[in-house]
Amino acid sequence: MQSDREFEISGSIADETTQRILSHVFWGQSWSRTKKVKLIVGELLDDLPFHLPIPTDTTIIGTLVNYGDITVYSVLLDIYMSPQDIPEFYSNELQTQGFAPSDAVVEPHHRHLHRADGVSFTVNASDIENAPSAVRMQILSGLKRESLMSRDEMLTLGRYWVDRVVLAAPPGIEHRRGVGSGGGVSGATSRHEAHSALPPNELMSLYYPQLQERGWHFVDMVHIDMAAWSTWQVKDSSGNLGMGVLTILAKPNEPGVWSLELSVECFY
Amino acid sequence: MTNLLSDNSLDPALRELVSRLLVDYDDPEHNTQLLIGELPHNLPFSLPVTEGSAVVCSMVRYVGRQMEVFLEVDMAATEAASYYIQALTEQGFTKGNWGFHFIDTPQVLMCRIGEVAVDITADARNSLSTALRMFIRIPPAGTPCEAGGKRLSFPDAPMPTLLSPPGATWRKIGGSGGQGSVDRSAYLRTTLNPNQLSDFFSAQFETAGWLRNKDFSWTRAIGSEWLVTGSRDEKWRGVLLILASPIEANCWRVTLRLDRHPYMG
Repeated sequence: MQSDREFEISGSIADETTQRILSHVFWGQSWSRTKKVKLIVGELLDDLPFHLPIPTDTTIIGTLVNYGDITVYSVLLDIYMSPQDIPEFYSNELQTQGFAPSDAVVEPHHRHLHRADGVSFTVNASDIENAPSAVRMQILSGLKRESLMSRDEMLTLGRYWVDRVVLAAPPGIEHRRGVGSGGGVSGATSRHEAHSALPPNELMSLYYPQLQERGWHFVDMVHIDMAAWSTWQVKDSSGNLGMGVLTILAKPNEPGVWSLELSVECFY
Repeated sequence: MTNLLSDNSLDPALRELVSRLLVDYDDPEHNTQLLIGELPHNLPFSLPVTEGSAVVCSMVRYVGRQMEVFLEVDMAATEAASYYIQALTEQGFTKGNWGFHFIDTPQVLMCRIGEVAVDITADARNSLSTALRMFIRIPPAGTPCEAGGKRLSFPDAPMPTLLSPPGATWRKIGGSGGQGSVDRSAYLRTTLNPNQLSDFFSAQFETAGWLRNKDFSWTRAIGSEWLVTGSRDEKWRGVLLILASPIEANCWRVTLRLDRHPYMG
C-alpha cells in the first residue's frame, strides 16, 4: 500500500483543488510501487536517462514522471515532421547513443528501442490535421534484462530449449507427447501425459536422461504425494540463461495418470 | 458540472498537458471529461459518500462507457473497501474474479453480471484515511462480469488472490487447469527469505478461510498444503510451492495448485 502519495507540479501554478484532483488522477494511473509523481508543464526533465534530441520548432507540452524502482517518463511534444518520419528520426538518433530496435516488425507511427543499461524508449506519433504531429514518448529506466528483450526474443529462447527436448516414453511407461504447448510473456511450455503406478519422484527421475542429453543442467527436485517439480538451468550459445522446470502432477480422478509440463522461462 | 479539461480558469499550458495525458486516442470522440468534486451523472448505481469523506473527481470516457471515481474516504483502507463492497452488494453486485491470482495492489472486482464491472482499489493515506479509486465499465465487456462469465476459466475454484510482498516485483507466467484442478505460477523477486515469504502468503490463505494442513521444506524449496470448503460444500486442497531460482539470488518461482475432492488423498 502507498502511504505517502507525493505529487508535484512544476512550470505552472495550480490551486489546491486542482493539485488534489491531479494527484488522485495521476496516482490512480501510476505504476505499482511508484514513490512520487511529478508533472512538469512545458518542459523536459533536466535529468532524463539519456540525451533526448528535440527537432527545431518543436513545442514541448510537458512531462509526467512516475518515480519508483522503475522510473517512467511520459514526454509529450508537438513536432513539425510527418508522423512517419518521427519514429525514424528517433530510431536513428538513439542508435548513436547505444539503443537497439526491439521490434522485428516496424510500424509506421511507432518505434520501440532499448539499451543494455536498462532503459527503453517508445515513440508514438499521431496526425493532427493542419498541425504538427502530436507525439507521445514513454521512457523507462531501471528495467531488468527480461523487460529489455522483445517478446519474440524471449519466446524464441524458451521455445528453443523446450523444442530441443522431445520427451519420449521412459522404459515401461506409457507416455503421450504433445498434449499441449504454449508460450507466455517470457517463455515456452510443452505438455505431456504419462501412465504409471510409480510415485511422482520416481517417475520424474526416469525423464532426467532425456533432459541432460539435450544440455539441461539438473539443479534440484522436490515432491509431495501428488506432484513433483524438478528445476534445471539452461544456457544458449550467447550466454542467455533460463530456468527450466519439469512438473509432474497427478490428474484428479484418474489414478495412475500424470500430466507433465516442461517449461523454460527466460526471466533473467 | 465543471469539467477541469475545459475550465478556462486553469493555466492553458497545464490544461493542455493534462488533457493530452488523459485523452485516450482510441476514443474517436476524444471526449474525456474530468469532473471536479462530482460523481458521473449516469452512474448506474448509488454510491454513498459518508460524512467526512469526499468525491474528489470523476473521469468519464467513451461517452460514459468507462468511468473512474476518486474518493477520499475517512476510514482505514480495509474498512473503506469493505464499506463499498457492502454498499454494492446491497445493490445486486457480487464479487468477481479476474482469474489471475498474484497481484500488486489490493483490488476488488464487483460485478452486476452483463451490466457493469467496478474495480475498487483502496490506497491507504494513513491509518484513518484512504484514497479510493473505482474503475467502472459499462457494459463490462472483456471482464469476468460479462454475461455468462466467459472470461472465468475456472469459476468454481476458490483460488485465493495473493498480494505481493512490499517491495517485491512479480512476473506472472500463467497457469492451466481443468477437471477439478487449477494452477497458477509467477516469478517473484524479493529480499524476503523463503520462511518469511511463506509466512507472508500463509497469512493471506488464513484470511481467505483456508486451513493449513502440512508444511514442506527442502534445501531449495518450501511449500505448504491448505484445505478449504468451496461455495457448494465441495472440498479443495491447495499446494503453495516456492522454488528457488537456480540463476538469480532472491528470485523465486511461486506456484499455487488447487485440486478438488474426491481426488484429495
